[in-house]
Amino acid sequence: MTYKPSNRREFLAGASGAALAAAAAGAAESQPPVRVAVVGTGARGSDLIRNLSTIESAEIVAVCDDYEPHLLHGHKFAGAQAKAFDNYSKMLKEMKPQAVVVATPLYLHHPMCLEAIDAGCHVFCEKTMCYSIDEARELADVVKKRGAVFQVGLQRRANAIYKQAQAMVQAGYLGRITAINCQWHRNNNWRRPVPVKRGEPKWSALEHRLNWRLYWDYSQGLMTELASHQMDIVNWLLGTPPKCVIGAGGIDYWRDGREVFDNIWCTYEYEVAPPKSNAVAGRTLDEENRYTVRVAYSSIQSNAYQGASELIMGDRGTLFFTQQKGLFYRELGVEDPGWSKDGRLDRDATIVTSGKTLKMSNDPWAHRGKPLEIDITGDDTREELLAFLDCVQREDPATISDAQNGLANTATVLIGNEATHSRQVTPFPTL
Amino acid sequence: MASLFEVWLTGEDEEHLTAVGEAALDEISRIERLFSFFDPASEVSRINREAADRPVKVDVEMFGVLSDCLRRRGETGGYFDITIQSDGNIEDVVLDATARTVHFMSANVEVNLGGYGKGYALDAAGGVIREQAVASALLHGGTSSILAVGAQDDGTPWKIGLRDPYDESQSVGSVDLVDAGFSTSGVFHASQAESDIMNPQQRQRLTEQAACAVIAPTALDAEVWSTAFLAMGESQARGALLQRNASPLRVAWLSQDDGRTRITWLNEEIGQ
Repeated sequence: MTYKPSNRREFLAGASGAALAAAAAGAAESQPPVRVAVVGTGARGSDLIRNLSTIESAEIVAVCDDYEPHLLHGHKFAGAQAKAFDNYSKMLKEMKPQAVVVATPLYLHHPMCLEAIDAGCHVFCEKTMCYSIDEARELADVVKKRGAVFQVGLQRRANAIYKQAQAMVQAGYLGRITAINCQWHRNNNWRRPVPVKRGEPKWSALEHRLNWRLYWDYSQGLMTELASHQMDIVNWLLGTPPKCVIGAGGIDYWRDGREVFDNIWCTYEYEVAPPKSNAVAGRTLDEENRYTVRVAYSSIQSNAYQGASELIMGDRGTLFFTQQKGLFYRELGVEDPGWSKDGRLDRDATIVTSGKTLKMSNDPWAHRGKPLEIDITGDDTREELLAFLDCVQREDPATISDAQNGLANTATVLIGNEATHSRQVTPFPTL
Repeated sequence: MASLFEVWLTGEDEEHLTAVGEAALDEISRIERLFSFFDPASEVSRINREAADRPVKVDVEMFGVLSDCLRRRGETGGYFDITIQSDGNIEDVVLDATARTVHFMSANVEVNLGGYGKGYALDAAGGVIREQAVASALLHGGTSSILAVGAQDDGTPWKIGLRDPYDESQSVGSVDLVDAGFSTSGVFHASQAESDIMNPQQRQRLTEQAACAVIAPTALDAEVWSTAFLAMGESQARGALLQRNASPLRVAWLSQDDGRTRITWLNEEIGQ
């Protein structure tokens, strides 16, 4: 244990202090707001517009969608100063925005991002970055060559819970991470309402437009729409993309004409070199001692018992996340990590009580002790947009989730689909 | 809000109705995320955290909501007040329409949309349902706020039973709703010494047991007015209703007389 937070409060302050300092630095320069255009004004696009409209460093100059009900909805949130377009190329040409936010269906990310970069714009692209690994590779390449500021909308990187969790993993709170379970379980048909009846002439076109997530031509299903967020966290915490994956899935419940799997189960293997800070007395953990961490990922749509959550299991502790709450539990049975017995008044927040006490407890969860709770401090979508705009103003390409990360994330989730289709062990490609 | 919301939809196409129901519940969740007083990620929390330090830029919808709250405060003679749960005063909430900002002139003031959000969310979800051509639906938030979209599919009004606030096992009647909002507010139950609802004029919690139910064109109107009328008390509520000539509100007062629960429709009493 090399990192010794003297107490919980200081540790928390340390984690959020950096973010505050960054925000203050951005504001101090008092630059004019970034002229932003948003393409894709459905549910997610409108939420991005709403968040942008509350940020002083952004000015929404235009919104674009070729589906009129969505365009009207998005425009309402953008405000009267924004111009509405149904043609993306025309919007880029006419408005010359500094930055473009791409929130269209997955298959359009690649062409739209390229067109924006070609027009000299910085880009915020919703996850998943691209429909295919080849597209992602090309886009990452172009971003690098053009020096564009590019951020993929993997907003857990801007979420206070995950930021602190990452710091805790780095500091060795979990010891050696040995296994991870991630799931996004819901119990609904994942359908958006279509304004005409099934079977009517216009139904098919509207169904594909509105329920694009359900069809392979536009979407890569649960892996790109849901798993991408969680697998990004896994790659972040383990500090590396996976080595390979096996997968299984199918359409077993919602047989309503959809094409993408309604349940998918992937097991990833990561080869991890333990960070030096995790070195434990009597054990050498260096490059030669790389070990495998297996990550089980599942997404189903017929039971919502544990919702969207991630369970990070280390030999010293466990992190359990939902987007609203993070919980840290210490494991019993490992050696005393020192920091838990420094006589601090608030140590009950981080220390499991002694073995004797535990034996007397009738609490079925007592072996995990009282968890350390990690709370959110703000809306992570707003936070990720603030971070992006700050990078745009400073022309700093080092965004919290740049195109290289977007490429790794795209490849991570898409090999899950590939393995599920082929029923073969599928290696992570060379990027 | 943190209430249980439920949606009944009637029609023939189950797949469509399911998708519409999900969209309506998504809309309610969206609003709950923005309005929550307790969730640090909500817009209301951001405003309460920052607006005393500097003007906080808010989105078009939130600005509309805050403006509407200030307007309704005037309309209810101060009995609907989103700052009443804080130590501050509503005069310290300053809105700037040009900059679309909210600024608190005092560090003691906080806004709480608790008495507004349920009705607002129900109306918004009702909008989603109507947009998707579902003609008959009933939605409620915590059973105290209800929105009827259309009538039942056989054409008869939605029938809502009223629980006797003095004896929760009993019903004291029912109301018929067609395209209308409904809300009840009460100072209850028997074991409760004082209400969560405050009288903004006296800045005190209500202590006299009573309940008020309002039928209104929207769930939001019903929610705001049932809270405001209850805070006023029966006689003042009657006066306020008289002043609002040809008001679309229908107001019921539930009180106890010789151990029996009595419903008084104030509109009928004042000949409206």
